Amino acid sequence: MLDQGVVEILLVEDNPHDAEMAIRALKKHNLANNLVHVTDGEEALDFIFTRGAYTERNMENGPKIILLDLKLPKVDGLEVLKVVKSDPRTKIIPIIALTSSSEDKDIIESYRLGVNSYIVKPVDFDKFVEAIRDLGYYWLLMNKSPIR
Amino acid sequence: MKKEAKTEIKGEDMKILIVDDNEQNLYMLDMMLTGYGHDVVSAKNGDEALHKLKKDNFNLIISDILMPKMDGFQLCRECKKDEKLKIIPFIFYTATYTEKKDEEFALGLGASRFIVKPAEPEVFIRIIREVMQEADKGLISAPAAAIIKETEFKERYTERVVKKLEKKILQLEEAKKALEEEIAERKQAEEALLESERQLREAQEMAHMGFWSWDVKTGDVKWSEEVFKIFCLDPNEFKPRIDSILALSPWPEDHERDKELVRRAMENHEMGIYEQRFLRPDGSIGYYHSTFQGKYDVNGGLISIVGTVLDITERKRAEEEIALNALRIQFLLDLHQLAFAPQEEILDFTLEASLKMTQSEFSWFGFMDEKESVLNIHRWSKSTMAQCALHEKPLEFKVSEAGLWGDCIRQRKPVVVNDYSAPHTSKKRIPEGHVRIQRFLAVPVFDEARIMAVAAVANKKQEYTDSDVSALGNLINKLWEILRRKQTNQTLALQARISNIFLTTPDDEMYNEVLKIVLEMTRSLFGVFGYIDEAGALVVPTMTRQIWDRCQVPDKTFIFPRDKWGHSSWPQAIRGKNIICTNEPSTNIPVGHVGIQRQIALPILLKGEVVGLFQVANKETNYTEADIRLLKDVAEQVAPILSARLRREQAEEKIRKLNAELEQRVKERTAQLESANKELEAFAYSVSHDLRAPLRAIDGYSRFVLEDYAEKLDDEGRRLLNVIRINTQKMDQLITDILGLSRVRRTEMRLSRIDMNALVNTVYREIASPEIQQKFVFSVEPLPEVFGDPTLIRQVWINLISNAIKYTLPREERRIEIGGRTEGGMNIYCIKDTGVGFNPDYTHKLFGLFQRLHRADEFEGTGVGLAIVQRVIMRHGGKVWAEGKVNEGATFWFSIPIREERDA
Repeated sequence: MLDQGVVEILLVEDNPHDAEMAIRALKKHNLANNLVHVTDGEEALDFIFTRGAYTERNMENGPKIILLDLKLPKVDGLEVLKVVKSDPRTKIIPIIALTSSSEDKDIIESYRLGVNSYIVKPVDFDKFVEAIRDLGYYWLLMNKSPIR
Repeated sequence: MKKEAKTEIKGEDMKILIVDDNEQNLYMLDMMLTGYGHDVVSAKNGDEALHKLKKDNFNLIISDILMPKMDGFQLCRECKKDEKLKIIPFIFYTATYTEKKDEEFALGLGASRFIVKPAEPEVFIRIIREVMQEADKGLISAPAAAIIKETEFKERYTERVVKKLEKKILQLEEAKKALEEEIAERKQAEEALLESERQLREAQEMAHMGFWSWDVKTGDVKWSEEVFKIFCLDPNEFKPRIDSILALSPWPEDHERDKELVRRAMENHEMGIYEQRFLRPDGSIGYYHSTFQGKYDVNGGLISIVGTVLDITERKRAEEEIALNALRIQFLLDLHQLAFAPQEEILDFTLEASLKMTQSEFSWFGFMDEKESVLNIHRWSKSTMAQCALHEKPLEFKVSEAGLWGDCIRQRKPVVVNDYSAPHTSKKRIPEGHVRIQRFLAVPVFDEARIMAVAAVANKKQEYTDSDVSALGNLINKLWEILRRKQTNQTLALQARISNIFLTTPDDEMYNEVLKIVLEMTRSLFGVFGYIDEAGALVVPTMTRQIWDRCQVPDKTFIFPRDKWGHSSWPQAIRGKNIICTNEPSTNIPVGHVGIQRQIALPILLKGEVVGLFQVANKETNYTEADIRLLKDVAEQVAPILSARLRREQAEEKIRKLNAELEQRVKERTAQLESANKELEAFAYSVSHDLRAPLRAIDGYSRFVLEDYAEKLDDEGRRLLNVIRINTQKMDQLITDILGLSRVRRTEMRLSRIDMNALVNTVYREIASPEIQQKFVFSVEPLPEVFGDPTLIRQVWINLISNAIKYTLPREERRIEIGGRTEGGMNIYCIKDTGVGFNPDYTHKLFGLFQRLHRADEFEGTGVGLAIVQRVIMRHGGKVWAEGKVNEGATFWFSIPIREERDA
């Protein structure tokens, strides 16, 4: 299982279609190999901090990057961001916020909380793929050495 | 002298015979000779003397010549013939025979001496002494020889006697003549006496002096005519008695004095003098001066009294008049001195002075109202008050209903009535119990042409005269002068005090301070000072503490709405715009309210409108015209300020209300806006997230179909999927624009200085790709700087420039010109293109949301861009407008007010 191995990307997205499109976009650039998808903030935190269903998991195994939708059920994306970025063990994990609008005031809030970048989920899928590609590469590559 | 005295004593024992037919002469001689110590025997003629000589021995004979029966010559001859008698010295003493020949004849008969009457006693005594000394020496002369002879004696004697008779006759004739003359003289004298008596009588009449007498024995009392006249009594009817005169003065206090006076005069036998008043039968008073003197017998018993009576009424009148005038002058001076005394005191003084100055019984004083139609009695004199039994002493009298005193207003001059009981056209019936009027005088007081007051006096004992009229007039005019000056001074002082209050007292205390003054000046216990507010209610910002604290009315209030005024005096005063002054206790007072004994309610008028109210109550004495005048003065002064204050207060109240309302509205609106904003934000969030998610799915999954099933799709299938994708992207654009617009609306403006040229160029470069830029001639004039929100203004330029590009791109000539200027406090910018333009008929639709003047297949667009432009410019306080024609390009203008940084 993936649990045992190193997780490259944690995708936190409650909308299954968006998640599918994101995964598809990542796959196009071979970035989705070690990808874990969770659908709410609580599960995301459990995964990151190896709690709940993920107690077996080793925190050493990442994730290397978190794609975080800001609008989530249960624990909100900003809350997840805040917790991750305020924990010394996890705060170096780059988090890329996913949002529906570049006008979203949550983006500003997320920067305050330490988000590393954000991607507007455009309606045009092609543009989304481009954005995922650019950012995914950048952060995955950027983060390789520090984490290791 | 002593030597002589000795000789006198020596001769004391002489016995002398004196002979004279005149008893008086005998008496005189007897007295004289007896006085010298002689023994004297008298005889009335020669015959009697001869008899006495023969019976007794005498030392000396003194004889007259002319005597009945036997005269002196015959007596002397007979003595000298007698041997015994011839040695007695013989002295003739005669008044008739005074000639030299008579003396010679006498001495020839043998007489020792011949003395002519009258002789001084000393001479007589000296001669007697000489004769006696001669006799002692024996020197008694013998008769002349010739005389001794009878014939010769007779001849010579006859001659002497005839001569004497002739002379005597002559003397008698002379005497008769003298007598006749004397009689004539006496007649004249009698006539003169009568004349002088007549004159005396006339003088008595003129002097009004009469005489009276009383005979104690007979009890007769006699009065001269003048006495009757003086006492106005008929001599034919009135029978005077000794006490009649004093009885004419029926005043007990005078009786005592008179009795004492008479008693003293009688006791000391002195003349009594006194002055007394008396009552005439017609009731008038006169005065007389009286003197009287008693006559007494040797034992001091009163025989009679005589007296005079002098009528001094005129003199007394004159004296009284002088005294009265002095009194009047004194009163005027005193009144003048009183000028600084309290007004009540001055009025009291004047009233009592008017009584004394006119010698009246009653007086009153009243002020006229401004229309001269109502007289307010200010004050009745104490005597009037004491005697008037009317239960209610009215204070207000209408001139139209006034009786005699009204005439002095109608005729505008003093009115004198000395016969009140006679019918008078103006006289009204006097109420029961009213003081009885006998005489009456009323004087009007003028201030220029207006009658200000009326003073009246009544019941002088005598008739009112011109001097009373002028005295009362002078007094009252002086009073008025003082009152007016006082009032002026008072008014000025009052005005100063109130002005000072206006200047120095905060608004909310002004009412209190003014009321304090009013209460003090009217000596009132309670008071109210309020204004009529906008709604017509009486607002009383002040009220004396006592009245407020003591008032136990439920619903105690400072505000009296008009519909709850009731019918007590103050609402009546306000409604009727008239002053209500009453000295009667109020009866319609609510339970628990403080009692009102007397009060004034005075509406404060400004230009005929009631703006406020003064009410004062419970002065200890009655309210008078002076109190009303004072309140009026204050009201006059307060009215404009009250009104101004009122207006200001009303305006302030309005503003306060408006502000409060506005604040409330702002709060509400803010709340509404906040909630709307929240809703909008939620909506925007929802739009941006939730609306977009399905779109993304549609687009993404369309794309998945195109990718995953490419080989299974023909060209038409691919086209249809692409239509889906294009429309989802349009939908996405629409959502973006709507979000943009909502952001313009709700984001807070952050103003800063903006370099418009730089901004325009940047925006142009950002939105126009190099290819596009190549196709355009883009020119920008120097633009004025603007003070605005950079993000929003940037959005404006983005929208305007992208519009210009979009609509000009299809044209052959592609020019975009941007310009700007400053005009009328506004910065005005414009962007002109050579694009397709628009139908000017639809200019009004240009800036509407979702309004589009072109078909979607001609030009892309959501119809939101210009709406955003308009919103932004409006938020900056400017305007947007446009001009254009189809195919002739379009020009858009917008203006933004010039603002300094500090205004932000």
